[in-house]
Amino acid sequence: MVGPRKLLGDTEKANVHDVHFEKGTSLFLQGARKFRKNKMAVTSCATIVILYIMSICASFIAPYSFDEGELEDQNLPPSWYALFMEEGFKEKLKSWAKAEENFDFMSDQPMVDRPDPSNIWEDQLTAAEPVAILSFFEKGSMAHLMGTDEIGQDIFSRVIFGMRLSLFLALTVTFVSVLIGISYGAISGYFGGWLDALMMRFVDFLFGIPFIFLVILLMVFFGREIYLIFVGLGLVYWIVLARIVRGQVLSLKNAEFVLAAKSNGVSEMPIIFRHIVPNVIGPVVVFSTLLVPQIMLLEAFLSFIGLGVSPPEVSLGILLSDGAAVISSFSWPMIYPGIIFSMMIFSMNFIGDGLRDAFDPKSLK
Amino acid sequence: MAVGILKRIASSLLTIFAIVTVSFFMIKAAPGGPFDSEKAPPEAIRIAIEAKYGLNDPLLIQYWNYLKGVAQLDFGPSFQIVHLSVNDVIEAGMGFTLRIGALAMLFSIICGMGLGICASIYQNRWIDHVLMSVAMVGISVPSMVMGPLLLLIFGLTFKIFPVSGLDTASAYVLPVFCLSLYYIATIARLTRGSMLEVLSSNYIRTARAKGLPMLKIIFFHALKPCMIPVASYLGPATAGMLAGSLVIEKIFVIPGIGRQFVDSAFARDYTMALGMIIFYCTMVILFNTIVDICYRFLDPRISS
Repeated sequence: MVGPRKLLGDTEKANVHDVHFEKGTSLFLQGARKFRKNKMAVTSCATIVILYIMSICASFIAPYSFDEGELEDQNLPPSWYALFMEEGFKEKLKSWAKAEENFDFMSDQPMVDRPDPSNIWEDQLTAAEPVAILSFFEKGSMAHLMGTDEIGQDIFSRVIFGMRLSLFLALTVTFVSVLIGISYGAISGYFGGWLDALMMRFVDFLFGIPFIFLVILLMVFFGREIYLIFVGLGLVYWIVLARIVRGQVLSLKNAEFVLAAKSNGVSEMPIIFRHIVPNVIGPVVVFSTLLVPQIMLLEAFLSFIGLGVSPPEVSLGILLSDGAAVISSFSWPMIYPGIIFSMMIFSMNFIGDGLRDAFDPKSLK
Repeated sequence: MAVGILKRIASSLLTIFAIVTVSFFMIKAAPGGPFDSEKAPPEAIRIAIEAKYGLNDPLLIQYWNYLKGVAQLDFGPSFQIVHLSVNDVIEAGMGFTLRIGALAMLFSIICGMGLGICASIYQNRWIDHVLMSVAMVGISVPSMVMGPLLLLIFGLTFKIFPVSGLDTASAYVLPVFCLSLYYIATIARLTRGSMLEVLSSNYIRTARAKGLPMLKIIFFHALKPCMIPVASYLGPATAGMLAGSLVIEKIFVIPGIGRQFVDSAFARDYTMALGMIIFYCTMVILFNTIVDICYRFLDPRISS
């Protein structure tokens, strides 16, 4: 496109260098611009980045370690709940705790009555031990941001460490599946013929197998090692990717640049991995951003039913499982990990959708 | 058409056979066994038991015997639960699991398609935005978070629905809703997308130009092609739902087979775990095959 030309009548002489050409926008720039306009996707990106940094710096940010706990701190509610307690209730609690402390089990005096809870948080509070409640008021408002669990471990710290493991697992598995998927799909698509037919038959066949049950089998019978979870999950998710890559490679393998490389005598493997694969990376990136939340969900699923990460290691699935087990007495061990987990999945889905909308050639028009 | 269907059934059978084979040899290769616990029976009894159940035979013979059993729908005795065979356990629990699964599937197809069509009709208006935001929440909040939350709100705080078990009709509400939420959301998004595509096609424009009412166009002209992507999603959805039922059964304490599956896995109850895996996989593959066959009727281009 031609920019504004200098008019001939101008005092200054028109110079050929002043005729400037508008810079062309690459597909990538167009996509990036489109992505930046998507407010939800950008917010999600920010959220994920913050959560990533938090989980990378887990050991610095978390106030406690993920497996340390004082037994006397068990089942403490999030400390900021104290801000919302009525003053009268605090007094009642203190007198009750004192009475229970001095209670003589051998005498005939009646049991100490627990204070009458007037809202749901207080109801949950009175389910805890008096010592715990006392320390709850004594420890100040930032001691346990998300409360503690059954054995007095700080849930906030555990969420951060759990997030680290879950993210690490999800990213590694995605990486593994992308590697396998790209190689498989590219080789199958490039060589074509009987090899392609055979390889795609195999993929079709794998596609019909409900892998989740075989992954459970793998978890169980070879011990619940974390690296086996990598392998098990990585083995499942490359299949769709291989199909996507194959489709792309089929449409690229007769392109001029491949022909040019061939005529220069480049051999087949470098053609595939140096010349073709970089050109199919777009759809792969989009698909793999959507893969990360799926794998996090799968990890949580396995840990939830007790077959994933095994304690004392902590992942978000373990936290959810622990929380669900005590949901009828205490809500915070479930709710806060649940919120963080849902937030992560939510943001990742939005980023994936945003990338797809931004970089899908179909939607560029 | 008939040849295509037969081919599809044959490949399903082959898949089931492969699953039986792979899981059988995986289990045989696994270290440890049901007799490796601390309370192991005396050596002589153990040898007698192993001889009785053919555990000392060559692997291929064991495999052949197991295949014969599976072909007759006999999964053998449990290695851990006294007096019960794997068949007994599956028969006792599968009613609950399949009922929840079938209800959830039905519910998610009906609600998902309904909401998706609704959103596509009102594209880019507030109904569409609200529905799609809710769908995004449905996709992002997993059932292991949603289940305990529903339990806390409707079971424990307001006491509208029972907290556990499946004794009354109202007890089905929470588990079914919880299991189907993700699929409602996904199907709604799929339906919206494909409906928008169909509604912009030429034959719909012709129908509109003829002056047909919108509802008639949607239900008699657009619905069938719009169902194609939904139908192809139902296969993966079945697998997901059966796996999801493991979580649901744990949260809502439902005596389905999911619990037994996980327990058998922990207890190294080989025959039980093997039987369960074969059962689950067969259910998924059976449903996939049915969906695929229906798919051919929806989209006649497939059968060629």
